[in-house]
This record gives sequence, C-alpha cells and structure tokens, in this order.
Amino acid sequence: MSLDPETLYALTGCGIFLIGLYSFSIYPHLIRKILALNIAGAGVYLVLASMAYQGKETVADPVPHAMVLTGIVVAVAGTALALALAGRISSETGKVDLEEPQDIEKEDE
Amino acid sequence: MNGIEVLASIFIGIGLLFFIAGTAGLLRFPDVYMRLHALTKADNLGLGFISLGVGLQTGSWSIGVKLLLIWLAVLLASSTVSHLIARRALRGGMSPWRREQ
Amino acid sequence: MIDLAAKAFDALLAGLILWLAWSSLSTQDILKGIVLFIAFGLCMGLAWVRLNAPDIALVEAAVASGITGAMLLGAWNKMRLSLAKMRGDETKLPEPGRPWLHISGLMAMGGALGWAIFSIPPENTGGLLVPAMRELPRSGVGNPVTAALLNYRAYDTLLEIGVLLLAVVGVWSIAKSRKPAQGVPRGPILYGFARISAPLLILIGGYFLWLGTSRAGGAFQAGALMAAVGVLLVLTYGPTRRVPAEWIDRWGSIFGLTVFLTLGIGFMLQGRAMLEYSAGSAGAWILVIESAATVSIGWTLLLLFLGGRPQAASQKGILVEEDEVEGQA
Repeated sequence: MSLDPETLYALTGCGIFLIGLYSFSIYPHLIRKILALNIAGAGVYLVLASMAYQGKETVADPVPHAMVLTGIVVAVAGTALALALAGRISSETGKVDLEEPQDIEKEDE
Repeated sequence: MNGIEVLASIFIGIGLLFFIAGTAGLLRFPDVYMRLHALTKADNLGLGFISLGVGLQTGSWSIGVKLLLIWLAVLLASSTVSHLIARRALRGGMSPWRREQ
Repeated sequence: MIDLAAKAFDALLAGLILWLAWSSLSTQDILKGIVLFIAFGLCMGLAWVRLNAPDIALVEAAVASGITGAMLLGAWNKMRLSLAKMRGDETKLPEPGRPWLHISGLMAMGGALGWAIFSIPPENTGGLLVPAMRELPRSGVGNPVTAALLNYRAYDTLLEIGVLLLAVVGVWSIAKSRKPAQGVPRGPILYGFARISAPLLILIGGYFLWLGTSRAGGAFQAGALMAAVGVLLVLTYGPTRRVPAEWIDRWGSIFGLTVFLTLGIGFMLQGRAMLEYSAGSAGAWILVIESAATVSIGWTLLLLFLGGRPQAASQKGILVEEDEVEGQA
C-alpha cells in the first residue's frame, strides 16, 4: 500500500518520540536530557498534527493545531525552568548529572 | 507551460545550482572562512534566484514583494552572522588555511 | 508525476527529521547536539507546512527552534563556564548499564504506537473540523486556529499564559540572570544589524498579530518575534542596558494575563460565562486580548531566555567577561 503523508508523518512522530525517550533514559547529562524531552515532545506534536490533516486541498482540523501551539509554548516554559534547575544543580554540586543515588547504591553493595 | 513558467523554472534551477555549489563547498572546504565563503553563494544568489522564480510562478505582486523582503532579510542576517563567526574564529586564533608547500 | 515528487519529498523530509533527531541526541558534543536540534526544528517547520499547519510552522521556527535553541545555548555556556574549573569532561558515554532493557521496552512501545496509528480508521471523519468551520463566522476571526485558541478554547490559552508566568516565577526563584558582559566589543556590523533589524522585527511582529485574525499568525508568533528583538538586543548590548527597572519586567510579564482575566471577569459580570464574548464584538475583544498577550509573551520569553532574575543595579560593578553565545558555534 502507498503511504499517505499523514501516516508517514505520524510514524515519523512515533520514531522521534522513541528516540527522545530512549536518549532521555540513557544519557546522564542534564542538558541532553532536556534536549531529549524536547525532541520527544516534537514527536507527540507531529502525531497530533498528522491526525488533524484532512488532505492536501482541505483545511486541517484547527483544534489539534491549537493544542500543538499550546504544547510548544508550554514546552518552552518547562524547558526554561528545567535549564534553570540544571544550572543551579551544576553550580551547587559541580556536576552535570544526577548520578549520585546510584553511587550510593554501589557503595552499599 | 507558458513562457513565464519556463522562465520561473529556469530561475529556480539556477538557484538550486548555487545551493548545490554552496553545500558542496560547505562540506568540502578545509576551514571555517572558506566554508562561510561557500555559504554566501547559496544565501545571496541561490535564494535570490529561487525567490525570483517562485515570485514569477505565483504571478502576484504582493507575494513578490514579500519574497523580495524575505531575501533582503536573509541577506542581512546571514552576512551579519557570517561576519560574527569569522570574527570569532579569527579572535580565537584560528588562522586561515594555506595550501601546504 | 507531481504526486510522486511530493511523496519522495515527504519521505526525504521524514528521513532527515529522524536522522537529525538521532544525531542531535547521540553526538558526543552537547553544543553540536544543540545546533543539530535547531536544524531539527527548522526541518520540523517544513513538515508542518506539508501538513497544512502554517501556524505551527511559524511557532516551531520562532519558539521551538529559535528561542529554545537560544536558551539551550545560553544555559550550556553558563554551565560550561561555571564547571570549567571544577572538572574537564562534559559529556559521558551512555551508562554501560542495561541499554538492551531500554531498547526492548522501547521497541515494544514503538510497535504498539505504530499499530495504533495503522489501526486508525481510514475514512476521514474530519474530527472537529466541521463544527469549527461552521461556527467560524460567529467567532469573530477568519483563521480557524486563532478561533480555536481565543474563542472555542480560550481557557487553554488563558492558562497557557499563566504557565509562562509561572515558569518565570520558578526561574526567578531558582537562578540569577547571567552576569552582564561588559565592554566586549561586538563590532560595528552587529550594532548596525541590531539597529536595522530590531525595528523591522517589531514591525513584522505587529503584522503577524494583525494577520492572525484572518490567516496564519497571531499572538504567539508575534510574541516570539518580540522576544527575538529582546534576545538580539541583549546579545548585542548586554543585559545591563536592557531594562531600567525590575517593575517593568514584572508588569510586562503579567500584563497579558491581567487583561485576559479582567475581560473574562467583566463578561461574567455582564451575565455571561467567563470569556464568552458578546455577539458581534468577539473579533474586537480577541484583538485586544491578543495584543496584550503579545506584549506579555514576548516579555516572558525574554525573561526565560535570560534564565534568572536580573541582578540588581548595585551589582553592576561585579562583571565577568562572558563569551558571546552565538560566537560559540
């Protein structure tokens, strides 16, 4: 079967979401985690907007578009807060990650 | 296809050639200054030709003027940014590449 | 033929987006990752255009790619400078732990998501498109997305502006703004650029605001451009010359929410539901709210970019040389 653009972009969105989630879970660097969350979020928006697509000639469903716009702006707010927290953490502890709890576990073992 | 559409396609084709040349330079040139030099081809001429072609294609004056403004804005921004990058590179002690003797 | 070319373009763009997402997150160098993220955002902008979503394309390019990219670069630079003496390595390899567990979990999730997408019924029901377009003449604006944002779902937008404000409150309580750079000569070309483009950007922002009533555009696009003006001026002249007093920051960032809430309560006092516009005057009220929101969104995004509470004027003396953010590339 031939792939409609909306299916293609929805699958791309899934792919981006998974890439973001994977990187978020394996990389310890805080800025990279924030970057990964942003990319995962972009995947979610792509899926939403693909669902809104009604064909080349028609106007797309505006409600998911409005939700994506809201999502992007809220993501920026969250990113700014997360970056401020990350900056504070690194200036207080001299670290760029949150690996401490694991180290303690290792010591216990 | 009438004459204007053919002309538009030719302009867009020329623009794409400049973009390909600029990208090849960006990938192949050895130092930051030469890469910037290659990029200006894509920005100045490539985008100019493409805007011209697209403007002809739409055939509307208001869109044509907007495309012209976009081209000028990109020229302004890209030349400033190129200057900043080159300046920063030079101050950072990156000396321009020379062919080895 | 044209259909085939469009399909090929879509496939290429989808591949490019996936590749950029992957390489942005898997590169060793955080800075390189951020730059690739900005490129990723611009390619996403193209995808939005392909999906008939020009409003999202504009916001993606301006906010998700531009402002977020600037924030990330700024935060990375700040972190790098503060850590420069403490330790050398900035990046680490993925922890050796159990990536296979992650991968298999994600594969299962990916399979489920893909199955969900393919199992969506192919007949296009149109979602909320039909009611949205039916009510459009009554909504007071011509752009259905603006109608959804400021009429059908105005609560969402009200709370969204509230979220932006909350983020500023949070950032201000956690961090201080980066120390203003002093006397780093940026060169005449940058000053000239700022002088030409700052007024131009404000003009374009006003144009987007006005355009939002009928076509793609609106308060968020306009606000992002206002924030871009602020970011440009801060990067060119340094934060010290930005705003004379903190109260302007405070009022600037709550202005939109205040107008929004006042109008909403005013409508309630007139016996309607909150944010239920009176018949016939919805367009005018939406424009009022959007204009106020543009100011606040711009101001809030700029404050978020600064990444902390601006330092008091008395501390101006303690200056630390800071590298230009954009110069790091």
